Amino acid sequence: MMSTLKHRRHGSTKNSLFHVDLPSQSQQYEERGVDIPEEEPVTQPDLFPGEVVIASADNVLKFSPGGEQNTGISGTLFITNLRLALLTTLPPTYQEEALHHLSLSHLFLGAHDVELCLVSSVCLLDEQNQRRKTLLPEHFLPEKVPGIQVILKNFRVLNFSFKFSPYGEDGKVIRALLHHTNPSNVDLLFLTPGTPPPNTFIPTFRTYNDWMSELERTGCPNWRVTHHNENYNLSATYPPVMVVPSSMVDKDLEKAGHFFRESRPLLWLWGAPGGAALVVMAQISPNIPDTMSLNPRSFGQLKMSKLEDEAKAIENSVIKAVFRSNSEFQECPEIINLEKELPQPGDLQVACSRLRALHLPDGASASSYLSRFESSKWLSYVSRTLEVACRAAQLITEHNRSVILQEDCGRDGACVVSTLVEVLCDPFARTVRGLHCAIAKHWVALGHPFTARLGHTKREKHLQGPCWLLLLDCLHQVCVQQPHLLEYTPCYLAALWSAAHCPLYTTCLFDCTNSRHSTISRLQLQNIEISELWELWCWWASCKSQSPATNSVGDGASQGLRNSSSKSSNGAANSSNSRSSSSYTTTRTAETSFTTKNCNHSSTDTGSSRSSSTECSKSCIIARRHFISPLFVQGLLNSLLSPGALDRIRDKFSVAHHTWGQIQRLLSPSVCHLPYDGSQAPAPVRGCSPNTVTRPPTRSRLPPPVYVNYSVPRLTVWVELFGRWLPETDVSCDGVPLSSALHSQKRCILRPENPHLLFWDDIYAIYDVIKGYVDITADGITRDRRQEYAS
Amino acid sequence: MSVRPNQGKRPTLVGGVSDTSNSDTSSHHSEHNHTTSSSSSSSPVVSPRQLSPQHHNVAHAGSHSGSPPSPKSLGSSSTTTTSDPHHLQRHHYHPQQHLSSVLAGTSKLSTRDAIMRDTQLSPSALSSTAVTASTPVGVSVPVMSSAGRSPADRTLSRDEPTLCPGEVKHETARDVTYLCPYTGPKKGVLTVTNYRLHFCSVEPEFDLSVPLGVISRIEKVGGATTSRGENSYGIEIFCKDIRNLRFAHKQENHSRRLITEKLQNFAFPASNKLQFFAFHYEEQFPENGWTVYEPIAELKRQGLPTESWRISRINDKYEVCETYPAVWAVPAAITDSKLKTVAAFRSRGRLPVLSWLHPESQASITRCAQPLVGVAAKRSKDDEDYVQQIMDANAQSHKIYIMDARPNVNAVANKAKGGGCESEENYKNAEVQFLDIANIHVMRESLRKLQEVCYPNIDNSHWLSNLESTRWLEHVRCVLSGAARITDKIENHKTSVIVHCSDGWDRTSQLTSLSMLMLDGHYRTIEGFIVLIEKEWLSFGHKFAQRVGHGDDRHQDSDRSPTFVQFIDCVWQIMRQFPHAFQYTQDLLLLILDHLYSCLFGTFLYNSEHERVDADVKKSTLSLWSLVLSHAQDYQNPLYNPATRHHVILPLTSIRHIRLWDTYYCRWNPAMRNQEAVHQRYRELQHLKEQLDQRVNDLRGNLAARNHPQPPSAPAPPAPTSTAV
Repeated sequence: MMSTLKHRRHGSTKNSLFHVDLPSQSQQYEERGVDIPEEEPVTQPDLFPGEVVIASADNVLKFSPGGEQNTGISGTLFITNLRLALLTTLPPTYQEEALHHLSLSHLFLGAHDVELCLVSSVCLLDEQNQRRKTLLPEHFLPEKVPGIQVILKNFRVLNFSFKFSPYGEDGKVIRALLHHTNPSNVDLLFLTPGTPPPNTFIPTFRTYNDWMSELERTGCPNWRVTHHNENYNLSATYPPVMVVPSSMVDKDLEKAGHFFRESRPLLWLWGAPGGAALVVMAQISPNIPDTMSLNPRSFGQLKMSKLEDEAKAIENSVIKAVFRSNSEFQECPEIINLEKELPQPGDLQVACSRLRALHLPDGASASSYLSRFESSKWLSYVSRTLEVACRAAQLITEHNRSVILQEDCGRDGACVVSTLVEVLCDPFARTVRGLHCAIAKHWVALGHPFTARLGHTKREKHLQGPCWLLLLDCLHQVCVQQPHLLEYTPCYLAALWSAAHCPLYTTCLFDCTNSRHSTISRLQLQNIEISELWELWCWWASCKSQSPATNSVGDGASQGLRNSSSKSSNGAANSSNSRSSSSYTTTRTAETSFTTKNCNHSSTDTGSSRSSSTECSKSCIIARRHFISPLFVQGLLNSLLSPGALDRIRDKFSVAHHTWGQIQRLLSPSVCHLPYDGSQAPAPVRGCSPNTVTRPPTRSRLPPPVYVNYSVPRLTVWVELFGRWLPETDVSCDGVPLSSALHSQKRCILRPENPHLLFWDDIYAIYDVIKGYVDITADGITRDRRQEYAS
Repeated sequence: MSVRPNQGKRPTLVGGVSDTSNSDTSSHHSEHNHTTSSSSSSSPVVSPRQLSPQHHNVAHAGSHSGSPPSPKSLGSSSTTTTSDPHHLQRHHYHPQQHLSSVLAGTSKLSTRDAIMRDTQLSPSALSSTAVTASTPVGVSVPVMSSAGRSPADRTLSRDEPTLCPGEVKHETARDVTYLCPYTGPKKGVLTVTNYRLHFCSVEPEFDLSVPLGVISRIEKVGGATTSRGENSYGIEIFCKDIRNLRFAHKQENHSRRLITEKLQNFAFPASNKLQFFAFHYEEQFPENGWTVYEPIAELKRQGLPTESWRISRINDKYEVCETYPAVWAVPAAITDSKLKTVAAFRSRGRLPVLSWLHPESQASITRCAQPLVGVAAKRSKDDEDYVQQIMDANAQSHKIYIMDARPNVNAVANKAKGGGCESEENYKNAEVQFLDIANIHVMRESLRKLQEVCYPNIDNSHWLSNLESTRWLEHVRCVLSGAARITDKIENHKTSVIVHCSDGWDRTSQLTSLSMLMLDGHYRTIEGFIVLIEKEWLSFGHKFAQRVGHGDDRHQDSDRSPTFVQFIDCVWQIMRQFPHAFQYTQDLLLLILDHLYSCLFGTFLYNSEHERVDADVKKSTLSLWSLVLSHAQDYQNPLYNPATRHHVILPLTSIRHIRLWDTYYCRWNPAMRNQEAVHQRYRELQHLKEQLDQRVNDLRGNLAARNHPQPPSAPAPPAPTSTAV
């Protein structure tokens, strides 16, 4: 299902052919000797402005692999410069549809669409649908290709058969697919859906204010924000604005930069009010021997060249600067050498491709699944990463020691570990908003080379290494072990993995801030209209309900909010009540109707193309139910139960008021589509007030970090991500979810379901009760006032 | 729950219940006058959360032997540490900390409390407190309530076990050291009664109580002359519940000989021609578990007798088939005399008898033993007709599936012993499918390997491959997959299924009971589950005595096998996938497995209904179900949604969805304990809702009273929906 964005059909496709954003691409295309079809096909998927159909084939059959091979659907397969789309009148399978709802790209793409960036490899199939060989762009194709298997990076597999497609079209489509899957440059990716992104209040960490407010939020003293890298003169891969020790002047910084790889001396990422900071540091330059010894006494014994001495001294001075920033001056910062402790991106890539092979439909027999999973080493990598993060988190919270993460360039493992440390230590990072801030800070600003690591382009195939997936799996483990502490669920993390490969979300596309800027300016030079780029978190803001029907409900609810916050009259409060309660009833029915199979199918006229906006908002509502942890909401509700808290809800300055606001935002997206209040500053790290930067540091220690048991037997295989597209072979039966079976008297087969989803009904019921309570007390107060006036 | 007539006499049970659970019970009683739900949620069931070391510390354990429990239970006192009244999340609604963990999740309300609680589970906390974490408490049993005894009684001697009615102390040895594989040696007093082995150390405070029934063998370690070094002279006890216990004795006081003698005597009553403790156990329960399963009533519930099925009492005296129950349901078309000839053609006379009948389609599950085909490929016209009649009893389908639980080769190999399998040529319209489930010897070996992998310590670096090499999960998968296929045939194809293996009492019981569990929501209630076990396992002659080896010292007996354990494991797997479809929690499963070995109840004793009738088990022993039903709310699953009763559940059976039941197999290992229990959270949530409802009602009342002359213009705010459970 798609959003309204999807329906901006361009005047004519001819026009859009003219409008080719990426001339170099079409040139290359012509070099490969495939013609752009002169005649437009009669039907065509709805294109984004600038999207070009490169090849198409009629009567292509799509199979769900592994299952019965006779349940394919037929349609026209299009390859555009953005996606692979199957245009068909047939509905997607239940599984496809359900999982499509839970992806962030459903705003833009249909259930039959796949972003080209997501394609991992394309394999040739023989007549019996057996996998033959992996196709590469330079391979010579047989005259007639029976079929192909497209293996996606999100562990999904698609089989296409060209049995009935016209002669020659199969080759065109496959060559186009192979070629455009790996563009040579990130400029060639399709970067914008053509509409400006909604405001999400997530800082970009490209401005002074963003870093400054982050410093204030953490209350970490003795650090300062510097503009020194504004023109990327210090380091090409650092953000333009960064945080360094107060004791280090810009000159020192520049001098130090020369001795570090990629000129990345140090970058502050997070800190505690006590003074402990989380700092990322690169290794000293490769031409200087790499020793971790920091003991100045050993200098004398080692005969080193002057340069090496100097480099050592510089490194030491940087470390000292970090040390001095920690006001307690008790212990020197702990330096964790991530290269020794963590898997390298190359290792991760090997592990990940083993996992992908293992989770192919013919991947592993039941008797070898576990040992093959173990031999991929993925779980042990997750375990090691969590161990390092837990250690660092403990040092910061319990010993108030600064932690320096030192790594080759400090752009890979450092991102994973620093994000985890913040999540473990800082309750804010466990919320949806906090997660997004952390991604913006620890990944985008720090300059994780997404283009290379996720393999978005052809050039850097050998540099691939899914650090991003490692982070997501680590967070997944935290979610599984402490589901009530995180506001998001593993389901959202899985959606983030797929969305990182959707080029319409640009968060995970670039190597660093610099390359992002230069790409945008290059494209602008080519007169290509780049309205602002969309970030991953824009999804949350774009879940607005648009149809009149939902609007009215939404209005009712928001009116309800207004009413309850102002001192409303009895009748109004009541009406708002009933209406807002009807809003989530709609939500529930939305889910029910979504889950009853065939419900949407009748309304889907052309499977991959059209859907009404109501459906979009429906799927957003469903997705939110899966993305927000009900156990977390339960925690919020519980906290309202403390004595007197309910009565303080009306008090604008009370904690209860904020909690209640947060609950309302989480539970009724029609009131506020963002699950947080963007106008409010993010919560400070506990133990300090916002202005402590100037004040002497507080002695208060942070609470201990979240406890995670990282021993391998306690970790969970992330079946919901790795195996969620795999068919069940034993008994093929879809079943219905409990929610839709509840009210039917007819005997049906239930599907296994995430138990946490079942909490929602009760959460909403409690929400109702509290709402009722709030309204009653509101009435009470108004009446009291009225009586006072009267007397 | 608030009315508990028998409070003082709740049985002390099995599986090494430690002080922990005792003290939890006491705090539970202290809050007894609280709301009903509060007491139901503060069940004495040892939740994974309660296993946290925090609950094992000395102070806590002290409340066990202490005076009447103070209203301020330890759990809650340690949580209310916040100073800011706005942040204050005092868990006034609940006595126990583990249930009342309230999370301040917003950034505003930071999660300090939550974190504080969580770190109490961390390894560092584990080592710092005086932990008895190794206390094998994972057992979900109601424990001795302290309410019945006077404080004076209890302060007398802490190192003596609290005896249950009928229990007699036989031997006590002092200066014994228990070598705990997780928390190191502990010195204390070892007591042997006719029911259990009790070890108690004062410093660090530690209790261990193991029913003698779980003992599989006892070995002496170290000789009088050969023992060098500390703790090298003593006994090692191998248990059936995936653990071994080691005690070191002093050589001087001869305590080892006395203890070993008594243990040998009471742990193996069958070998010593003694009576099981179940016959001495004198507990009183308000409920009588022996009456839960009435064969006729159960058949009537399934809609029998129908046009095509009748109830037969031909086996009243257990003469037609010794291992079958007295009451059968058979196709109406067959005469009693024919039944006898069919029985003669089936191994041990175990002819096809109805297990379950589909309420709508009339498709049926029938169970039997293998036909006596033999190498000569014998046929029995009567048997073939009988299968035809079973098929005809279901008008919806013109086909019948014969599910042979064995692998094909085993079925063929059985021909040499006179067994075999139906041939599709002779049995018209029948399709034979083999479900590839391995035999009892393979399963026993597999569980033995699993124990090696899980106990006492786990090799982290090779965990998954070690787990795989035991093949236990694969066997579980196989059984589940077989049951899912039967369910599929019945529900989706509306076709009747005949299930058999070799003798029809091991794999057949697993398959029929699991598919019945999937097909019929009644079996997913507490009473229904009892009926299921009574019917498919006990009455149809699963040889519990032989498979478990009750009171038998031949620990290497090749007839032993964890068939029933595997079944319970499968139930847990289904439960994990359908947490809302079961009225009971895994606590009930753990309880059942504990008493499978304990010999405290007569339920699982003996091999068949016939033997149980001969031994007059119903009169002279108590039923486990009496205990379960008397404390049913302790096993109630708060997530249970009764609307699932009318529906079928079909679990995912690929290996990816089969997990190790670590709460059972790894329960002695403190490092493997679960952090989160969803149903605890849910219980909290429900409690919260009730409380809020109450408050809103009060307020509404106040409001109405205040505006008395003026009728309330506002209709009531939306009543809280009670759609959930």
